[in-house]
Amino acid sequence: MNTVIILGLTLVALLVGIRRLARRRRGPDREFDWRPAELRRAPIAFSERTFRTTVPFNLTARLDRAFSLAGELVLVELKTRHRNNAYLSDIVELSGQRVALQRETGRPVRRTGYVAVESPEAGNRKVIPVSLWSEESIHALAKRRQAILTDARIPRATSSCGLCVKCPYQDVCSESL
Amino acid sequence: MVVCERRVYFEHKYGRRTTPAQRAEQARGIRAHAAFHRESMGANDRRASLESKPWCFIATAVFGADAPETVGLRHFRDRVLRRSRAGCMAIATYYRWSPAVALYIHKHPAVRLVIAAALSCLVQAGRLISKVSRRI
Repeated sequence: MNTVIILGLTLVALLVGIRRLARRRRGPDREFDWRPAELRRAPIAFSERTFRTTVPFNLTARLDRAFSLAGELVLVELKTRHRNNAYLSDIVELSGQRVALQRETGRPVRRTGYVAVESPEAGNRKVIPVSLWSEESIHALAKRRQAILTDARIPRATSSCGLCVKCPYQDVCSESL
Repeated sequence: MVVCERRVYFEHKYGRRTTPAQRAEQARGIRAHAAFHRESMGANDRRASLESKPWCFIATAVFGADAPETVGLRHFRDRVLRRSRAGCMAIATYYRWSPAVALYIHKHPAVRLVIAAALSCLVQAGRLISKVSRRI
């Protein structure tokens, strides 16, 4: 009987020890667990850095993370959201970062970036690879933005009802629902 | 801009507005980014530790530098032991005594078999702990 109790206690102690180790591991190791396979051992080149360029247009972009991989830089953008989705706005953001980073450092930046979506509840991350826009496309978008801000073009409304409902400009927007 | 052009225009014309829900989301995003940045600070050091400190004197003397057992022990050191103070002390003690033990093993090949058997058990235990801790 005593042997059973001792064995049971030993087992409980062992499980508690393993659980503690796992908790400790989960903290710092979180950094490596979420990374896509190709970036798992890649060094971080930049983190939370702002890059600027004036050529071919004025652009300032703050990037979340850039990894060095085989002579190229790979961008990662962190997003906290409930859905594991990458949106067009993420792609444009990463593409802008790519232009600014490439222009300021002179280093090539890969056309494929990653959006790391962090769940607000669980805190776990999922990475979604995205194809980035070309510099010309970003330049065209910047031109259109400038034209809208100077009243040379009429701004289009969003087609997403969800965004309209949450928009703080509903009182001034004729398109608001 | 790609989300809603009208919003970009209104921001420019009337100034930036946010709803309480958006402010809460922004605060959450700032916290997550700060944590993300903190994680990046130590990541390169730990990656360098994995690659630039590959020595496991005893395991290298017994199995060889690139043997799966040596790699497994290295992994156990970096992923499990290095996470706790007790583990770090164990690593420091190991590095203090292991060169002498490795030299002894090198001089006495018979001891190698005993150490190899003991280390194999340790490797299996290490793998099991790593696997279980990943699942929990």
